[in-house]
Amino acid sequence: MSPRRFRRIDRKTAERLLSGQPVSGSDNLRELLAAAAAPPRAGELSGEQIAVAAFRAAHLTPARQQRRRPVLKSTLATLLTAKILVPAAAVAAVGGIATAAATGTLPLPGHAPADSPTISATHVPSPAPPGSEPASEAATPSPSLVGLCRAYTAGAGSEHGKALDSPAFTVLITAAGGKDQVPGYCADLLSDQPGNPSPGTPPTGTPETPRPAHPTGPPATPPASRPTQPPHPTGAPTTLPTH
Amino acid sequence: MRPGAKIVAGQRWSSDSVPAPDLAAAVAAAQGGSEEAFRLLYRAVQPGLLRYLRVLVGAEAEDVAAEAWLQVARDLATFRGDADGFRGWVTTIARHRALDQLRQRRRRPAVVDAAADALVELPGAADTAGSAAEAVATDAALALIARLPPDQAEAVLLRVVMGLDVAAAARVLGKRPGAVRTAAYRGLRRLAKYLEQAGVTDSGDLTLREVR
Repeated sequence: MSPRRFRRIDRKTAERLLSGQPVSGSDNLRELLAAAAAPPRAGELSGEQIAVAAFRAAHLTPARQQRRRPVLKSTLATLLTAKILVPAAAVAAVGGIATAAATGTLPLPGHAPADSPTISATHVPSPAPPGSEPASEAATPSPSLVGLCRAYTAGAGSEHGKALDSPAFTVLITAAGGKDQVPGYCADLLSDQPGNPSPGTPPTGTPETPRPAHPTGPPATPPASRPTQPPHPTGAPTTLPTH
Repeated sequence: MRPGAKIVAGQRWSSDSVPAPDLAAAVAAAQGGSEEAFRLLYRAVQPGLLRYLRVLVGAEAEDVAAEAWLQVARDLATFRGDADGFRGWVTTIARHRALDQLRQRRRRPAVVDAAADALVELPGAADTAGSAAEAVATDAALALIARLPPDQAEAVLLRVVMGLDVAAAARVLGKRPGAVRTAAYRGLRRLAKYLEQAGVTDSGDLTLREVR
């Protein structure tokens, strides 16, 4: 059955071939295996930005909470935390809320835990009226959306169309309201990132403790009856950013 | 071709390009939140993973790999083990995703299982002209491995392309090491037979045309 040339492949030889050790004979087979395991090609790493964005997003969210608790529990915890923090936020950020009210961007406390609430508050497609239930699910996707947007904008221009076909971007497309909405959505989202936190310093500090004063301005700022400046240097709501 | 050099540089690229100790350190650093370390892990594991998946699920390999990395990114903190263990862990995650994909595909009507064909048709668009020949050889080799019975193909790929040892490959496949050793051995013998049938008399002759 086996041609004479390949009769030499006994188990020992096979093991050497499989583990990449040099063998005598079996040249064709050796070449074949070497070709299969040849050094990486550029195209094989094309998903790197998406993977890194996922990594970044995973580290921006409260990792301990995410790992150890079932989804339902952690959602409940978020809601509870949000409720507890409503009065705290009100007390600590009177100035901020006054400012926000004046500019029409009242942040919902429920958005605070995982990421900057400003983003959620100003970019939830249909802003929830103050009386409605804080959208707890809106709090969770924010960080990953930011990460996905970064990954999206980091990709080469020609890759955009194709990159959005990846399942990793499904969430982003859904949030943006359609594939063609993604560029504008991401431009808005990223431009309103306070300080645009660098990848090296993710705000992982105390994930379960929102920073009540953060959304609208430093707590030291005295309440301003007529705010003349946007709370964030880059965050003027009407500015159309280019990325 | 450069037989000797290529085997050493090629067969174990995943270990050689990133020395094992560094990879182990990268696992720890990535668990601590280092993005650079995560990139390093990705670059070390992804190429082989993608080739393995291409044999399993054909053109959907990139999607499956992307899903696998999302899970890796999410669950990295729960991983316990060294560099080889990490390789096996990622492979296990990706394999489960691939099997899910295959189950879904089977439920869909009129979808031809064309993994090997898709593999051969994959363009080497991203490759420079200089490495085009090697890219073709890699695709051809994978296409040939894809013709093996699935258990043999997987055993060969996990050993050769993913760089797993018998024990690690057995863990990924959920089989006894002896079974994996035998499958890989039979796979090699069959590959040798394919080569003979294809009339490959010189190592440089392995091209797409001849494999098809």
